[in-house]
Amino acid sequence: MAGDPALERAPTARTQRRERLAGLLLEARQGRPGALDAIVAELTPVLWHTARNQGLSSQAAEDVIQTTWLILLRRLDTISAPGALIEWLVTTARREAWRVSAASRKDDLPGDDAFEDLPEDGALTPDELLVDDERRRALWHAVESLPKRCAELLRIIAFVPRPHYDAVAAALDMPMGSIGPTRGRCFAKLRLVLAKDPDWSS
Amino acid sequence: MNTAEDGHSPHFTPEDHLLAAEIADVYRIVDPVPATLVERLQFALALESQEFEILRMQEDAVLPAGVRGGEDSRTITFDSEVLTIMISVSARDEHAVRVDGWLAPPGEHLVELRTGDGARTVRADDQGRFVLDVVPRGLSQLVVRQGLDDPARAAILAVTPSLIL
Repeated sequence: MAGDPALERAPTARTQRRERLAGLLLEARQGRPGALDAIVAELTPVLWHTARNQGLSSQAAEDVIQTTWLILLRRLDTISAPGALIEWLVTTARREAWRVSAASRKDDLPGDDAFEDLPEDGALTPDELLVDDERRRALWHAVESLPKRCAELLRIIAFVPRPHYDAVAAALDMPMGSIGPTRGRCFAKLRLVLAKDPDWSS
Repeated sequence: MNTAEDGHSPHFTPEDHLLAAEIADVYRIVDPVPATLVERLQFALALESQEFEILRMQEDAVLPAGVRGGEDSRTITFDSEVLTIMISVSARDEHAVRVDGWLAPPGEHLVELRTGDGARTVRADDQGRFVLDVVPRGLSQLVVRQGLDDPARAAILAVTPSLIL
């Protein structure tokens, strides 16, 4: 990319990240296998937190994410922009998560297993994992205390490359015209909660 | 209208970006992505074709972890709109398992089991039954292909996610 005047004028991390994802998407559509691998590495955390936010167990979340990427492989030719890719991935992962949840309710399995944390990550609670970090613990409690829509939006966009925050809001069915204000309100609500917490000092 | 691409809408400040980064740090600690998930996804996506049915993991998918792995025998069902596969995985020894499978509706498809050290292909019989007698434990994926005489020319019909045998 060196020598590209457009990039040299705006060499911010944000711009580079957006250009990188767009470049990888183009290469993946042209069939360069490494490009899809890089996209999977970059965007799987977004899907992990999307699926887990739906209350799925680790195993169920993994199944949902595998299915989501396999469906993407079939649809790769129809998706040309990184924003559209992220919106499609988050939308599809949520739909697959609902499918798994519905199947689990229908089967009426004892213990509602899809919603049970696995032992390895049930061993320590978030409070225990963050025991030495008051500031992060305060932030975790603040996010979890928000209305569900806000908590979901903030958790997912935290893992999305910055230019594509709106793609997530769109995937969460927030009306296009209200995406900016809705997102702003969620951050404002979070700040209100944090302001009341003496463990949070920034 | 589309200030969105830059993340520069008036409702979104640099402080919001910093807060988002801190939220990501928190969730990386309390709910990390499983260490090998990306690698397993990349394995499952390394297919020569993009035209296939997706066989979703069914009842096994909602069983608790203890039932899912580490047992002597387990049954997994995969389902798509046109095809169902049930496999029964039984332990041979610490290195290998045997896979007994059934396709429905029955058809003399080729069933390929991709593993880290290559693929094994068998033909389902007219009852849809197939057996992979010795399969190394580890990462694998089932790929159903057309029942041609030359496996190399048989197009992919359906694939499962990756799974650990």
